[in-house]
Amino acid sequence: MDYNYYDEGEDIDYIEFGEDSGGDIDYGFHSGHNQGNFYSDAAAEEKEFAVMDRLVQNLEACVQPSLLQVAKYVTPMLGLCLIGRLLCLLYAMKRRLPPAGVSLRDANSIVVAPLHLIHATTGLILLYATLGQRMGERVGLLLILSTLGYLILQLVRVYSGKRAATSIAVLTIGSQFLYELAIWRQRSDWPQLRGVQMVVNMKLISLGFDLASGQVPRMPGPLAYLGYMYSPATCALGPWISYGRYVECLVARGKWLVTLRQLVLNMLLCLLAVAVSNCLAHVLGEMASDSHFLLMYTEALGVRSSHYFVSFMAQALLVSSGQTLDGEAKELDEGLLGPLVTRPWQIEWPRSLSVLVRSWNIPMHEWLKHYIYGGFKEHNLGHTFWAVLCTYVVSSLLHGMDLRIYLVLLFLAIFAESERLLRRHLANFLDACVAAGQCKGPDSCRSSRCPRRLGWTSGWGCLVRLTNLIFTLVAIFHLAYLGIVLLNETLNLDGSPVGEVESFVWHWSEAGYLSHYIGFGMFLLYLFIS
Amino acid sequence: MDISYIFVISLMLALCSSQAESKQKSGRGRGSMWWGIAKVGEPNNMSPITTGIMYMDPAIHSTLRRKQRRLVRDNPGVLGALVKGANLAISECQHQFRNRRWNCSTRNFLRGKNLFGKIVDRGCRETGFIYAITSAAVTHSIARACSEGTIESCTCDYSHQSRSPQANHQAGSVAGVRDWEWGGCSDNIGFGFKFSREFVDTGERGRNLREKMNLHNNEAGRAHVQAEMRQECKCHGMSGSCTVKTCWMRLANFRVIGDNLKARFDGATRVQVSNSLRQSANAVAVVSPNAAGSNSAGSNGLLQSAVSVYEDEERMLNDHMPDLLLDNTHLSSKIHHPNMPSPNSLPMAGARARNGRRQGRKHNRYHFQLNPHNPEHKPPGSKDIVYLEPSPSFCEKNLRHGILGTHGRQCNETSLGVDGCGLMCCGRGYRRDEVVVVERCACTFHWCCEVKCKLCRTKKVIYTCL
Repeated sequence: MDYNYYDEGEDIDYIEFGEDSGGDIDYGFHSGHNQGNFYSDAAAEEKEFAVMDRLVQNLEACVQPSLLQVAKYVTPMLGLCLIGRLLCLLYAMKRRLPPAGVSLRDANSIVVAPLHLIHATTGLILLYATLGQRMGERVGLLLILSTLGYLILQLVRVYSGKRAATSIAVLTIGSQFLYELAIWRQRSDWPQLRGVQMVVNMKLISLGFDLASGQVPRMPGPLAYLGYMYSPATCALGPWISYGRYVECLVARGKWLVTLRQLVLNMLLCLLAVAVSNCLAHVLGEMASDSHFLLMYTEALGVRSSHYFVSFMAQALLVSSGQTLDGEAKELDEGLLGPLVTRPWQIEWPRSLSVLVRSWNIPMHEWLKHYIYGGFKEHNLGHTFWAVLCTYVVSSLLHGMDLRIYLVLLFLAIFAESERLLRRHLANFLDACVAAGQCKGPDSCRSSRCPRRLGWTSGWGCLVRLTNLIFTLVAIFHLAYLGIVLLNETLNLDGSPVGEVESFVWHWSEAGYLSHYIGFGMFLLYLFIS
Repeated sequence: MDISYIFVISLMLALCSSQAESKQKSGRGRGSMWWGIAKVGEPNNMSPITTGIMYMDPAIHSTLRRKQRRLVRDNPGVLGALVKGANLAISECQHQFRNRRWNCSTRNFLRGKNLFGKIVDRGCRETGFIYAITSAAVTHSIARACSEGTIESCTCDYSHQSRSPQANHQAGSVAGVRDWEWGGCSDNIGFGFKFSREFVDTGERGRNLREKMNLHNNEAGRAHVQAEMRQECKCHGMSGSCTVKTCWMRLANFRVIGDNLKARFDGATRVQVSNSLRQSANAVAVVSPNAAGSNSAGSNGLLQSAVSVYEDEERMLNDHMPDLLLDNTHLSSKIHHPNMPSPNSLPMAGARARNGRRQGRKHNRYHFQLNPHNPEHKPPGSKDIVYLEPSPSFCEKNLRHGILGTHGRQCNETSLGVDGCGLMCCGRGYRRDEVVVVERCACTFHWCCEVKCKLCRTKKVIYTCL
């Protein structure tokens, strides 16, 4: 009796199985026929497979869902912006509003009121549509806060001049801080609302200063105020725009074709940035894990591209609603991307830290420069140092209670300032183009030893270029070093940050606190030279 | 010999009619017929995969149970993921068992047959692994398809997120994200988990020991996926605020899950349910080594058929045994209907009204504790693989039990493990062949991501079991 007994067995169930067991059976990896191939999986192939597999898997598991989510998120926003712009245009055509736009004096007139209404409504619908769960409650909360802001703004009627504006600023920031401290630490959705509220606060403060200085001649009515605060182009993601710019662009004047081109370009860049931020930076980091600097750099790249992503999205919104920004030459609006919120190319390859800071969030920089730093200097309230310090404090407080941001801003300010001082001295001392700011053109350069003037091949030209290159590399290192602090925004399933162990302190100690030494070293060198 | 022969004859006579009936009613592989959809896309079986046509597909119709068909119908796009998942399970299983006597071979899908063959009829370790890995693969591929947006009923819209937190709890994975649920699909794994429960566990009601084993192993597979799959979310917004949140799967390679399950396979626990059932469980345990054919001299074909009859009888015994003995929470499962509506998580027409009532019982299906066969061992955990009877040796071909034997398998002469020639060939000896193989060698890795190799000819020695 052996096991083969069953091969001619009587059980119907198994007949097919017995008959053609040779061809029918899938031997998996052990088919005797392909002995030649069997040994061919060499180790290198495994490695190739691993890398390619990871990339493909990453594409499927990360890039695809991320892009889909972003597309789903941003499409209604763009749609609303375009609808708002179209409605405003139609209204303007119907009422035959002057093509030059609405002047600031007429901003409260009854003819213009529907335009404000369109802006405020589309903006609030946009917030409602994108805030997600419990959106009614959240929009209501934001409305209450902006009403409070409007009440604070009425201080201008009581006081006059700078004092009113300053008190508005202090009250706004103070109240924001209080909300954060007292109430919304408990609210889990506060991080989502904070961004919206931050833009509202910036607008409020700038409006106060503008009213005080007479740039805005009349207090905006409630409708105009709401339209300004919740204009669809800027309410969700920022950036800040001034009231003057808002009124100027109530009826957009841009050409549709240009808008379309800029929109598509911005959206493409936005999708690229989110893919890099969510997925590719991490994969690159894993590939380059042998060097700590590369790891830090790629991780920080995730942080930076996250910022680019939001900025490009904001730019797309600005373009689609035809809004222009302050502080830029108007011709730029016809450029490739339209109004610029950030300049990634100057961040990824910075000439110096201060250029980097200026390019990070251009409207925010303009705001700080114009209202805080400028206001401080205008009144000669003291040394530049105090102005810088005040700017730093305001900028930190605006960001809400986030220690990591305070830390980053503080070190960024210190490093950038010491680098700027050192380079200014070096430029004067050597009479060479090594200052922190780029010379605008060959003629505007004050120093004589400029690569552009001397030609690239001359000894000084090379030397100057080398110096600038070194400063650039140092800035890139600073960037990675500081960017890593903002990293653990990644949430895992448990809601806890992923990199608990790999927090920035770990990265800093791994890098030997090198950035700090470099930063303070530059300052010491500057003191030594001067 | 004679005695056993007579015994068998009498048994067969007595049980002839009821055997056929019981086979019809609850063959052991019935709950797992869906594995066959792995082969649905193959040309000899089916027309090409187009989701529209696939519903009508007779092969699918015969493979899936009524409830499974409804699940597929109500969740458009899920079928592709299921097919993918089943194939994933097969290839992973074959990878994990490439060096073992049983190498997870499958046969071409034939209508009404079990994909992995007759081995599934036995409650051995290998069966446990098959159940665990298929359930895991379905969970994995569904969750992935979810995040890719190919399943229409599993989207990122907010109606899903306002679902009851208790449903999240049940899935156990997304509980912590509840506060962070704006934007982004935070419940992909939850959906995969629940869908897998609905779909994979359809046939298993947990009424007898074997069904409990299947349920436990299915759950174990899902638990491994859950432990290994991470969903990550990232906030984007001006200066550290969280205006936009995007989520994605940081996927563990399914290989990792396969590795973990293989480790559990190696340390699997043999179980029984309760003392009252010990007798029948023991009976199986005593007889089954013979059935495995490990003792070829003493093994008798007729005796083996007697064993299977006996097992049928035992199964029937379990089926008809008052549920009190097994688990007193299952009194109501007598009226359990195969077309039971799904739980609230999956969008299904007309199912919601009855959810509240069903929820409790639904949950209880998974609420049992298996006891280890050896009382000194600790009871199996939720991630452990359990089995009922020792595995056959898999040495000799035994088609009744779907065992192919190790004849003609390659083995490793130097290894002392299962892939070594001594163990693999079960002492029958092996053949040594020298072959010239062309393989890629001197490979260099170029940044990024290319590997360049040369072709080399080398002599290899291959050992094949006799």
